[in-house]
Amino acid sequence: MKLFPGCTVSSRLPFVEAAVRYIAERLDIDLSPSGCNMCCFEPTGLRSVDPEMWRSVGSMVHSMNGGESIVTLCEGCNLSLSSSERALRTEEGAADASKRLSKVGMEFGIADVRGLLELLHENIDGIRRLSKSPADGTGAVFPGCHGEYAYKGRGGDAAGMMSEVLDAAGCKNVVIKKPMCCGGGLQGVEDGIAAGILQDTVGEFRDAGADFAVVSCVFCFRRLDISARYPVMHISEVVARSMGWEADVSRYHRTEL
Amino acid sequence: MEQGTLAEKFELERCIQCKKCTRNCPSAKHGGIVPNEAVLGVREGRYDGDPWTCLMCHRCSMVCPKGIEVAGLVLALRNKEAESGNIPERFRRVYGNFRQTGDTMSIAGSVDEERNSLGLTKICRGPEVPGKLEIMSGRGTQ
Repeated sequence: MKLFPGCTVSSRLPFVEAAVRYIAERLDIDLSPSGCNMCCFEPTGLRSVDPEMWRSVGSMVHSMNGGESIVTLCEGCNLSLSSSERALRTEEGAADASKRLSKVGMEFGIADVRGLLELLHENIDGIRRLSKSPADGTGAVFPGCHGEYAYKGRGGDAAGMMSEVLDAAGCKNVVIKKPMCCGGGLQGVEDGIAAGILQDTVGEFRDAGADFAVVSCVFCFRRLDISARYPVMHISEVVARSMGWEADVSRYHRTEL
Repeated sequence: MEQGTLAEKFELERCIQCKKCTRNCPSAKHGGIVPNEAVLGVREGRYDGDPWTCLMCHRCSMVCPKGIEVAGLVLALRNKEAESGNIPERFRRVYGNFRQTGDTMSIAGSVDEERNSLGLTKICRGPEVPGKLEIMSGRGTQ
């Protein structure tokens, strides 16, 4: 299985990759580096600006990981590469990708894209067995929109999976059954709308009695931590900590937990 | 792609205007895109709203009882705007970063040190990936 950290984890929140590696080692999951650690050509803005480039980048990432499973650590990557995978599994999409790749001397391939939540959920018994130090307080379950959509496309329920993983890690949690979003897709584009959406979401967390949010999307992490100044933990961090991970990651939390 | 073609591609005749997409749209509540109006407007070939006020959160697609890919429709509208050069500055900047470096964001010089302290290998910078420069230059695009 290959690990695809994505731009944000690699350059801004590397602790997520470290936490995932810690979990994988303890659960005996073989996670080798992805054959192509590059931008997924982000599904919100870039795909809007240049759909041709999005197709090319998706084809390339799949080509370099053909026949393998790749686990994404960012729900934007999950959505982008899952959408590519769906397209590549059609006759038309495969022909298009082959043509693009031949221009740069590469061969067609398709990877099986999975998100971190799926990986954790598949190993829930191991997490339960190895969890010894649960997080204090109650976490609001917040997989984020792109994760919800990507997992739904594979028949999964992101909030349900996250809640069960948190239960296994001994972390109290609350699932809020309302549409929530971090507003990140409009950050820097329509800041007023983005801020209003973020405040709505934080308001839901507070109303539900949560002490912090738990996310699986690193973009949501940054929106809550930096823009909303609301305490947030990444699911990898919660699970790794419960298993005994002791790395100091305070520098990545601008809002104290 | 013209609005009539989009209406056919996304089978917008299925829309019953139940407005579930709009009720679940985080942006609509704050004055952004109104998804059911976008669907109706494109179906009637008269939509002139701003697709850049959409978050691309896909919640509209997730809740549509008729299975319409509303977010896909909005993405197509954005593609059309982009073709005409109408691109929000943030996206233009990020796109420019990608074309120049292969990354969407700047990478601080200290990141390798941070990664090392977490037991991680050095970051894989954009052009180090074989074939990436050619893709970035547009050679792999049609």
